[in-house]
Amino acid sequence: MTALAATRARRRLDLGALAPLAVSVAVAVVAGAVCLLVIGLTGNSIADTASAFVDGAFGGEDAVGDTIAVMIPLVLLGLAWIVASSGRQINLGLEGQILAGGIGTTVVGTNFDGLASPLHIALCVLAGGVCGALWAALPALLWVWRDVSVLLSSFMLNFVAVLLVAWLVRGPLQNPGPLGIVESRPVALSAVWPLVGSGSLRWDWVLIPIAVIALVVVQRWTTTGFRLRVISANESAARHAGMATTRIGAVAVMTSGAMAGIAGSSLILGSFTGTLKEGFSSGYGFIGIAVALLARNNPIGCVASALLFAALQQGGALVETRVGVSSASVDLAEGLVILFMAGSTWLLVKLTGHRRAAAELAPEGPVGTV
Amino acid sequence: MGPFDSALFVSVVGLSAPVLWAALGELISERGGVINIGLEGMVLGGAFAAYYVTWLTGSVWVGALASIAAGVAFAAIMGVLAIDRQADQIIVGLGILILGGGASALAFEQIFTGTGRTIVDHMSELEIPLLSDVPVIGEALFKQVPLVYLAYLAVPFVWWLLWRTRWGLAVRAAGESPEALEADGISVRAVRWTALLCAGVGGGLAGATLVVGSLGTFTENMSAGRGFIALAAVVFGRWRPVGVLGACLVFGGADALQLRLQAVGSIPWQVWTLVALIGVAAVAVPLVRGRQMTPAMALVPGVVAVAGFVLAVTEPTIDPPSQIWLMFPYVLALLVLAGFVGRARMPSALGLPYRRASEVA
Amino acid sequence: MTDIAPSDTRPPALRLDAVTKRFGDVVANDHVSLTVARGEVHALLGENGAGKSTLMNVVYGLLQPDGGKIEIDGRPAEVGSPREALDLRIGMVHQHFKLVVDMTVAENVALSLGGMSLTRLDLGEVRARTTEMSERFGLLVDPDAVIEDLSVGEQQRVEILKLLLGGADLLILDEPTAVLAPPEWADLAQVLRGLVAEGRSIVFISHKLDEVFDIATRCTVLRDGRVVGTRLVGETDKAELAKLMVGREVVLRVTRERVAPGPPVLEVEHLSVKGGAHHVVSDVSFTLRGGEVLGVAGVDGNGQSELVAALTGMAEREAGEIRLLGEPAGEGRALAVDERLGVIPEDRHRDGVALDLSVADNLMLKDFDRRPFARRGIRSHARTREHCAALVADFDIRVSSLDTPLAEVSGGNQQKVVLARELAREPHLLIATQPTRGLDVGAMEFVYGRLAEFKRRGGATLLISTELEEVMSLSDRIAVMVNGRFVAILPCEEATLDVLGPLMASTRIASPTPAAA
Repeated sequence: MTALAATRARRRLDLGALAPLAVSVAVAVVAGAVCLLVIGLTGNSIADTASAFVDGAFGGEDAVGDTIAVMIPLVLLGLAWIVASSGRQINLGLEGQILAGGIGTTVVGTNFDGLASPLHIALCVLAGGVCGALWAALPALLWVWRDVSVLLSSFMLNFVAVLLVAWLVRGPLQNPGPLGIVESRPVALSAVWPLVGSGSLRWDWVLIPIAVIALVVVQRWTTTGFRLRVISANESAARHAGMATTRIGAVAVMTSGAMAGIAGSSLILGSFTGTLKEGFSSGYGFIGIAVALLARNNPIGCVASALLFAALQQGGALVETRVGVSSASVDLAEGLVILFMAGSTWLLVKLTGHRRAAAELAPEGPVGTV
Repeated sequence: MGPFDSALFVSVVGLSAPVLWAALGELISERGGVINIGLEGMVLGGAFAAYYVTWLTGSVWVGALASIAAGVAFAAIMGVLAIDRQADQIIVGLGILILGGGASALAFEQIFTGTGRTIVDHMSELEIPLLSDVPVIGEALFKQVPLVYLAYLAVPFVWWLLWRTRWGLAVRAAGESPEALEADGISVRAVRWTALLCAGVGGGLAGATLVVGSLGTFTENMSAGRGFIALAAVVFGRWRPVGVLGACLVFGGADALQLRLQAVGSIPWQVWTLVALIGVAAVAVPLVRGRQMTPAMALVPGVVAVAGFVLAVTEPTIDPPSQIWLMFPYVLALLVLAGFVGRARMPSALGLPYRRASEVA
Repeated sequence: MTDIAPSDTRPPALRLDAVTKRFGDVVANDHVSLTVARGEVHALLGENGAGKSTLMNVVYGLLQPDGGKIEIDGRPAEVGSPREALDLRIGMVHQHFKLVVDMTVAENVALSLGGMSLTRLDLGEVRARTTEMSERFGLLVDPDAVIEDLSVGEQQRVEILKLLLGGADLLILDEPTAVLAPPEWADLAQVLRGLVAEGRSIVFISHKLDEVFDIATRCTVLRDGRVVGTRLVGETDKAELAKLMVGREVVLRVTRERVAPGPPVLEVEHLSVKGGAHHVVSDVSFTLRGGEVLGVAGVDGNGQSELVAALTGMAEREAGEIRLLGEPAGEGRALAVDERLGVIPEDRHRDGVALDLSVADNLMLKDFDRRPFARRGIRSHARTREHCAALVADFDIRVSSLDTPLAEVSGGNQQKVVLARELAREPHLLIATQPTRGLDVGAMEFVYGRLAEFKRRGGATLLISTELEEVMSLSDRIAVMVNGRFVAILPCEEATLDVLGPLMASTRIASPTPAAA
C-alpha cells in the first residue's frame, strides 16, 4: 500500500467512526428546530415552549425521575427493534407486545400477594417478557409456516391487543371497586419497583444497563451474535453457510417481543397507579423504533437517543399543559427524525465513501414476502 | 335473509370504498417497485386535509381535491427519500406513517380545539333511478356517495392503466426488472415517481372518503388501520386490480358484518352457514381445479365446515363483548394472509432501491 | 496509434478519441481510441477486467466518460443515457440480458420502443412488426411467449430484435457467445453477417479468439484499460492476438496431472430435483473418486445450479440418493455444514460472502462455532484472528487488515477468501462452480494451482463451468448436462470440442420432462 493510499484509508476510517454520530446529532437538532418552527408558526411563543419543555424534562428531581421512567421502556424498545432487524425482520408489533407484557405483568402482580418483593417483581417482569414473546410468536410462526410478512401481521395484531386490553379492563381484569372505573386492580405493593431516593426514580432503571450490556455481549462475543450479523449482511450467504436463517429470524422476533413485553411490565410496575388501563402504552412502540433508528441500531447509542425522546415526551407534556401546544408535536418530531435518518444515509455514504453505512440502518434486500 | 339484507350490502360497499382507494393506489406503486407502509399516514393526512378544506370552503369537492394534494405531498416526501436518495423504503414508510398521524392530529388540535365546530358537510348519496330499486343489491350498488362510485370505477381504470397503456407497461417493468427498463431508455426514476404519486392520490382519497364521504367529521387516528388493511388487500389480491377489489370487499364485508352483529347481539344461523360454506369452498375449489390435496391440508377447512354446520343447526347464544367483535376484521385479515396467500409472487424488485449503473460504481 | 483507415469513405459509425473512465482510483479505460467503420464487425478483445464492457457502457450512455470524445456517424455526440444512445441508433445486447422475464416477447419489444406516455399500448402492431423483423433476419421467436420460458439463445434473439425494431444501426454485443452452445454460435454468426450485409455495424466483445476469426473484420485489443493494438483479422493470427491480450508470450495453460483414483468420495444415484412443475435435474447418477476431477459441461441454465444446490443441501431433492464417503449424506442444513464438503458458489457475491462484513468474518463464515474458535456459544477472538491471519498468509490474500470490509477488496482476493475458507476445512470433496468467473489471469492461475494441489492430496473435485475450455483442460472425466440430465460422461481423451459441442446442443429444443405427480 502506498503512503498516499494509507493516509486516505485512515482519513476515511476516522470519518467513518465519527460521521454517524455527527449525522444523528444533526438530525436530532434539525428535527427539534423544525418542531419549534411549527409551534412558532401556529402562534405560540417559542421561548415559553422551550422553557416549559426544559422544566418538564429536567426541572427538579421528580421531573428527572419521570424522564428516566419514560426512558426505561424506550431503551428496551429500541433494543427490541435492533434485535428483530438484525434477524432481517421488521417488527411493527412492538405496541401489541408491550400490551401483552402489561397484561401478563398485571395478572401476576395482582395475584400472589405476600410474596417476597424481589421475587414478586422478578416474576412480574418474567411474566411480561413471556407474554410479549408469545404475542410476537404469532407473527413469527405465521412467517415460518405460511410465509406471512411479519411487518403486516405484527402490526395487525396491535389492534387486536388494544381491543383485548379494552375488553379485559371492562371484564375479567376490571377492578371490582365501587366506582366501576375502567382499569384493573393495582398490583400488590410487593410487585412495585421500590423508589431509589426521595424523588420519583425507581429501581427499574437497572434494566437499562442490564439490557444494553446483555445485547452488546451477545453481539460481540457469542456465536448467536455472529449469526445475526451475517444474516443481516447477506441472508443468502448465511443460508449457504448452513445457518438456519428462518428459525433465527423467528427467534429474533420473539426475543424482540420479550423485550417489548418487559418494557410493558415496567410501564405497569413503575407507574403511579400500578394498574392496567387502556392506552397505557400508546405511542411507545413507534417511539422505540425512532430511538433505534436515531441510534443507528447501536445498543449503546440507544441510551442517548432514548433520553432525548423521553425528554421530548415529558417536556412535551408540560408544554401541552402550560403553553397549550398539543403533544402530538412529539409524534411530528418522531416522524421527522425517522425521515431525516432515512434520508441521511446518502450523506453518510458521501462522507465515508462506502455503502456499509447504508446497510446499518436496515438490512438491504427484498422485503421478504409482504 | 337474517343479517344478510339490503342494509348490510349497502354498508359492505360503503365500508370497502376507502380501503379500495388506498389499495388501488398502493397496487400501482407496488407494481412499480415501491412499497409504501406509510399508507396509513397518507390516509390520515388526506382525511384531515379533506376535513379542513371542506370546513374552510364549504365544498366537499374542494375538500376531496385537498385530500389528493395532501396524499401527493406525502408521496413526494417518500419519493425524494426512497427514490432519489435510495433510502430504505420500509424506514421511510415508517416515517410517513408516524408523520401523517402526528401532523394530522397536531393540526386538528391546533385549529379546532375550542372552535366547537366539528361537523362539516358531507356528500349526499347519488341515487340512480330505477336501478336503486332492485331488491337487496339495488341500494348497495346504486345509492352511494360519488366518492364510493368512483372508487369502484377506478378498478377497471387502474386495470386499463396498468395493462393497456405504455405507462402501465413501464410501471410493471419497473417493479419487475428496473435494469431492463433503464436499458430500454426509459427512466426508472420517472416511472417510479409517477407510480408512487398514484399511491398518494389513492391514500388521500381514502381519507376523503372517510370524512366527506360518510361522517363529515375528523378524529385522531380515525383510519384505524385501514392503511394496513389496504396493504394486506394488495397482497391478498395478488397485485391485480380485480383481486384487490375482491380482497377489499372481504375486509369491508367483515367490518360491516361485525358492526351489524354487534348491534344484533348474537350470531344467527346464516352466519354459521356462511362459515361452513367457506370451509367447504376451501376444500372444493382446489379439488375442482385439479390440485393435489393431502388429508392434512383439508383438515382445517374440513373442521371449519363441520363446526359451521353444527353451530348453524344448534344456533347457540353467543354474545361476545363489542371489543371482541371489533377484532374481527384484523383477525380475518391475518387469517386470509395466512390461509389463502401462501407464497404469492410479488413484483421481483419490490422494496429495492434502484441505482443506475453510473451510480453503482 | 495503430489505427487502420477503413476503405469505406463514409464517416465511421463510431469513433472514440481518448475516452477515459475512472472508478475511484481505478482507471478502467485509459485514453481509448478506436474506429468502427460502417458495415464491419469490429471485435473488442481482452481478458476479463480489461475494460471492454466499461467502454461499451460508456458508448451506450450507461456510464459517463471522464474524458475523451465520442463521434457517431462523424458527428460529435454526448451520450447521456441509453435513451440518447437509442436515439443515435446505437443498441446494446448486454452480457446479462435486460429483459423483463415475466412478460412476453411482444411486451418486452413494446417497452423498448415505447417511452412511458399514457397512450394506448397496441400489442397487436408490435407483434406484427416483431414477426416481420424476425422472419427477415431468421431470428425466429414466438412473440407471445413469456421470456422465462424461452431458452437463453431465444432470449438473445429477442434482445437483438428489440434493437433492430428500434432502428439501431450500430449494435454492441457484449460476450454474446458466453451463453450459447457451439452450434448455436453458427446460427448467431449467420444473423450477424446478414445484418452487416445490410450496412449495419457491429461491435463484438469477446475473449474467445475462434469467434473473432469467424466473424470480425478488424479487432481492437484492450489490456488493463488501454488499447494495445488494432489489427485486420486477415492479417494477424491467434498467437499474436493472444500475446496482445495477455501481455506475455505464453497463454495460460493448465497441465492436468494424473492422480491414481482413490476410493469413491461422492456417489450420486438417480438424483432428481423439481423446480416448479418440471424436473430441473432428472435422474442424474455418477461416482466421483478421490484425486479425480469430474467436469460438468453445459450451456448455462441446464440444471447445473440446481444440481449444485441439491448436492450442497440448498435444494430439496425429490428422488435419488447422495453418498459421501460411502454413507448417505444428510439433508438440508446438515449437508450444508458438513465439514467433508467444500463449496465454491457460482455467484460469490450472492451466496459466498457478505461484502459488508470484514475479511476475518468472511473467512469464519462456516467455522465460527467450531472449537477452538468458540466454546459453548462464546467466541474466542484471539483464536479466530490467529486462524484468519494464517489463512491470509497461506492464500496470499492481499488486504490491508483483517478488519477491512470485503467490499473494498478486489474480486480476485474475494475469491481467494472463499477458496481459503473452503479448503481450510480440509474437505474430501470440493464442488467448484465457475471458480474463475470474472477473475484476471493472475488470480485464475492461483485458483488453478490450488485446485491442482487439492487434487494431488487426494481430494475429489466436481467442477461446474460454462467455460468449456476450463472444463476440458482441468477434468479427468467430463459430463455433459442438457435439460437437467447427464447426456454423457466421457473420459477426457474422448471429450474433444467436436464431440462436446453437438452433445451440449443436442436436445435443447426438447421440452423439459414433466415431473411425476
